[in-house]
Amino acid sequence: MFGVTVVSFSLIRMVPGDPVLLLLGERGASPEVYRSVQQSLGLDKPILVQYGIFLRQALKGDLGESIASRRPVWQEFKDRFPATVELGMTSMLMAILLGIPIGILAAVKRNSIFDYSFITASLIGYSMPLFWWGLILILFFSVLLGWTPVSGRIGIEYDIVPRTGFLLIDVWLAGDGWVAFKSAASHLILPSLALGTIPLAVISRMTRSSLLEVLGEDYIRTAQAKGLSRSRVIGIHALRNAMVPILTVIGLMFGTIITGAILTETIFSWPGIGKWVVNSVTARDYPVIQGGILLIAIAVVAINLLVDVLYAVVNPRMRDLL
Amino acid sequence: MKRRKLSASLLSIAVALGIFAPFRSAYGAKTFVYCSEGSPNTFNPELATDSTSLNATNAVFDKLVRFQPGTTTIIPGLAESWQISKDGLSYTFKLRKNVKFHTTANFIPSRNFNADDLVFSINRQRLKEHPYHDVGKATYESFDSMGLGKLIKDVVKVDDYTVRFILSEPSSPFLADLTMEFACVLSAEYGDQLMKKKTPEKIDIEPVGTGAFTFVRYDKDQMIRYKANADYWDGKPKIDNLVFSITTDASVRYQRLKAGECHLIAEPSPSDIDSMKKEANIKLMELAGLNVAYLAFNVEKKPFDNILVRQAINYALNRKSYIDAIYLGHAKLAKNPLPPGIWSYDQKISDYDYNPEKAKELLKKAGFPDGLSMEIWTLPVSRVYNPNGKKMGEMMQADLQKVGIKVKLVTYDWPTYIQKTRDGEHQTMMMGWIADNGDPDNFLDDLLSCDAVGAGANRARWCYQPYNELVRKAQRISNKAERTKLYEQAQVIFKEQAPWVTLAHAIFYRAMSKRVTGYSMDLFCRDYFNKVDLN
Repeated sequence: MFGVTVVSFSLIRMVPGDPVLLLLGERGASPEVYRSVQQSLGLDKPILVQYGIFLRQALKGDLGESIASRRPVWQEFKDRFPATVELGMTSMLMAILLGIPIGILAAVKRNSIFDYSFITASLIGYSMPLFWWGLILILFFSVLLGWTPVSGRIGIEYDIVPRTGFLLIDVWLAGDGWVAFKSAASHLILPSLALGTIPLAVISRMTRSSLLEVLGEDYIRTAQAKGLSRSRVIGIHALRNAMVPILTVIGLMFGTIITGAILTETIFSWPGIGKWVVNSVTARDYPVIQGGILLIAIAVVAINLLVDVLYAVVNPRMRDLL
Repeated sequence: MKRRKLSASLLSIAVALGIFAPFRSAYGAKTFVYCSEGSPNTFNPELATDSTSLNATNAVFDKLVRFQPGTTTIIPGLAESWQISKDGLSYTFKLRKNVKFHTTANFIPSRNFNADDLVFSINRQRLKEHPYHDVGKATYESFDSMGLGKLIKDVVKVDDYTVRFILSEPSSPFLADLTMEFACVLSAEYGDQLMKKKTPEKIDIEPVGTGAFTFVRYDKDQMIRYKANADYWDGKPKIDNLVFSITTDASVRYQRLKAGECHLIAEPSPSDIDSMKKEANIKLMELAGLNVAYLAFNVEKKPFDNILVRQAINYALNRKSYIDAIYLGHAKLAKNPLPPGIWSYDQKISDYDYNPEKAKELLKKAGFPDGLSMEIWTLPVSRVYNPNGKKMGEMMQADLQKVGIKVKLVTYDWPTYIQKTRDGEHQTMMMGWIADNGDPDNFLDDLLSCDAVGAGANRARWCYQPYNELVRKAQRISNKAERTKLYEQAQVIFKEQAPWVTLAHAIFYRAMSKRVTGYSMDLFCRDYFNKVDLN
């Protein structure tokens, strides 16, 4: 984490561009005005002093204030993070719930038409530019068919006061119930589909190849020889052993989800952290960049830690290693 | 068999859930949805410099004076009338009575708007010792960069409904400056209450004003909700609720308009305009904005200190072709630094025509018979006044090659571009300007005076005394006819000296549902919803 703070702090400052001048835009300002704004933002101090202040405050849980909004970075992150988590979790859930079964089917029906179609489709899914794919989904499902909303998190007619930040929960806490939940869920469909396409392709391919490797093992032949049913052989004996690389890929896909969230959040006007951090890079909003990157790094490490724990659950031989 | 039963069950569940049921937005009666282009940084216009934040706050606040919609004519706002002293140093405003502040979840006003609120709002920005000056780590870029800290010597409450501004020197644009958003009126009573509760920063986050709409709530990066102010002094709005639905991508905004999720959208993409014109349910409005795009010569660097070189490049560029290719026809060719909508615009000025032969002649006279090499710094972002700086740069490069000028195109990302051009590192660079207050001074002085070189806005770094004297003199006199004469003379000098190549005045659009009535476009690209209605 210390390394992350050094990298995020120093890299953004190496890039030319002055946040004070950005605030002023095409407008000019006298040197006095410039200095006054610079001082109020704490940007007049030497770089090492600025870093020391940032680190000291970060250890106390204070990540400074956003230059753009003047509000605490932690508060801004907290307000937006649940939206990204909700979208990310839904996308991953879709990718896992569809990807693993499809991968299993492709492995079991190896070299069939289904398998060849799957390989082609997964390659296309992996290669498609997210921005284009999102717009196509909107054009087809929202504009032409009218089946789904175009963008946003919920219909405008539902005035839900955010409590947890997870809208699928907040609609129940607000007492709006099932109708509002449907609206929130329907708004999640296209963004999840767009964001989950690459993880779906990767997870399904990894499931297929990992399962094929395991299905070639001697103990699988033994299980079949013992007369166990096909579903038991695949579901219990083969899949469990194939899960380790699949879990690894799922863990790595969370990183893809976060980077993909930036584009997805832009297309679907999803109020998450991806877009927030990218906008702050353009605006040279140093506190947001530093704090945002640190918090995202913490989240990614936490998720990968969880994946490591899941290894031990899936494969008892790995418990000793932990 | 088992698998088929499972998929059939899943499908039935989905249908039963109705999740895939056709989506139709069903807003409450008279809820107007405006699809805006970005998220506001603040809800206090005093702190805002970006148009997104200023647009979001216009619904909530009023100013002393305002523009008649679609014009630059100043009309009363919260001030019913005003008098300017003969020496131009004193502005006395009579304030409108019975103007109510908003009642919100956090505030119930006990009195109407009066002089205390105006003094509070101005002094917060003006006086370092004001209790609210540093609240929320506020900085007041608009107020400070207009020089109002030095210009306003004092703000005096004469009585509850009379306020006097005392200036340190005469400044004719001052009244026009008060039409800008930073001159909004906040509630002093709300400020006191928040200070007592030790939450003064809420004044910039949960705004209370006198405007047509009361702020309800902001869902970060998603929606801003407002409710119509039934007690609004200029007439209750016809709609009940106003929602800014934040949609950052222009194509998606268009799709939402088509799908009926928005009633009005901000900043349609130029490439969608022709398609919008063909849509039966969409109405398109256009207005020539008060803006200008230009290519500035850094006159401190050779050979652009040579007037003949600058004039030659003016003749060499086929600017009409840029209007067609870059703006897709949605702009007017610019010949002056002022756009035509601003008074004192000189129609009589002769423009540089596209004349490569004349350009070569001038280059030869300037001592460059074999041409020269130069850099053009191209605008890295799409702005209202120039949607594609890169493409424009390529077209300029091709035009200049025909007269023997080799061009290297350079660009940086926006923050870097602003910094380096402010420091004068460029040879030539693209920029533009959008009017703040409808006064010619806002262009002719703020962008081209000698003081503006130090302030950084004069990217040509052009300090020419005969021009400077004219615009400074015009700033100090109040007679409009006399100011017009001075500005016309200034424009003649500008044209001859050619510190810029003037490029275009962009036309801007608003697209809306055919159900919308009562919406008028604003010359400053703001959106007002006081008079809109839905059929």
